[in-house]
Amino acid sequence: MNLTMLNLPVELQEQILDYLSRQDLLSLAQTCKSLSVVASARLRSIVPELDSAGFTRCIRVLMADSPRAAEIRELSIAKWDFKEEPFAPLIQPPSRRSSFLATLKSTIRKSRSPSVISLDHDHIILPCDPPSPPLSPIDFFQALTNMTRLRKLVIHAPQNALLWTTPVVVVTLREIYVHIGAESNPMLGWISYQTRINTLRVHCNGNKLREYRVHPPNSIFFPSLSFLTTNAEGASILLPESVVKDLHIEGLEDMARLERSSLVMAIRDSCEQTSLRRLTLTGHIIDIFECLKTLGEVGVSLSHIRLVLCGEITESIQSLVRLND
Amino acid sequence: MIEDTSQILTSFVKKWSSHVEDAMPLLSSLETLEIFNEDLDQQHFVSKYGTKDQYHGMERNKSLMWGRKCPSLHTIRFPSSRWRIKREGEVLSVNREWCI
Repeated sequence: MNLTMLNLPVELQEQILDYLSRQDLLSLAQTCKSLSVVASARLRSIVPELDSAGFTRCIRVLMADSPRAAEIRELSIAKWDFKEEPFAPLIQPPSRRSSFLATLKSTIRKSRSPSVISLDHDHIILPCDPPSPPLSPIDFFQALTNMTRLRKLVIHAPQNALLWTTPVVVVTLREIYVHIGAESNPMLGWISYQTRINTLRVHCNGNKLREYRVHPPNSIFFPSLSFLTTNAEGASILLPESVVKDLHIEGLEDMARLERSSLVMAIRDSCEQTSLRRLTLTGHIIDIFECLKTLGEVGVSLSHIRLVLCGEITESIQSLVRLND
Repeated sequence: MIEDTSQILTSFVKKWSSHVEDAMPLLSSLETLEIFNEDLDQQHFVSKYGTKDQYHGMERNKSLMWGRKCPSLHTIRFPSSRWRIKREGEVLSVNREWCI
């Protein structure tokens, strides 16, 4: 009997399809009769990058239709314009965050002077149709609460800070990807509640994640975080708060000498706790090797290095071509 | 068109050698190296400078150079191929495991 993917149990086929992009799944669903059912089901589990109006419609459906929301595994958020209304957190934050949240909520109250509305699941009013009122952050988090199988969250653009003030803990969430420029302090604060994530891509630029630190000794923010992609500042902040085994540092070309020094120290300290399985460095050749040199000087030992070079080879190849003229 | 990949190796070594020497304390324990480049993928190279064979020849030469520099290195991967480094005494050779 020939062993092909089609002979595998559907559960295994689904896991294999997890590695495909949305476009790949779309092609597969349209061209392969045998896998179209599985591929189509997988497609339904992805909310792609939508414009603001489309995302609003999507959230409206997901907040009202729990079974449909429970199918969602990947959620992308592009720039979303929502109604700025006063609201209270759906879930009370853990006590360790109270100081940050108290400060943040106080700031919001001062800026908007709202009366605090107490909401829980029973009091949420679903939007009427038609006319459809604009959605608020509380609606978004209602939809998020309905997504009981959400594994991956992709944030494409900066959002209104109010979106991140409801500290929902998404227990199934494992991967968060934040595009460069979309990061903010409130969003990092929200991410810090997602303690079960194993993959995170976020850059920190003056962000104050340290303010949300867990203070009990020997405790860390992200005990399962093993894949981290960030910049030098993000590494300095996040490495002590996780057990990263696969580290990717981006933006080496923009790094100041002081930043490189703190990055190297953070990597060294991290390696003493959990050895790095792989280090990826993105930048210019000189910056990458300066970093490797400094890592070697402080005694870091690595068995697997990945170099992603930016912007120099074209010049090198052109000089080679001239050599042959 | 580039006729001789040895010239590429010469330029490559010249460009990289000092950096690699600086980083030797770290690279001496290196077992696997992956090199990805935003500009120099195979398609880009073939369309502008040479042939697919020349591109793979360049990757082979790079693998040999890295193998000589890093005593523990056994695998080197580029965007279009992966090479296994073999050491028999002082003789070093590379075998391509896959390519696109």
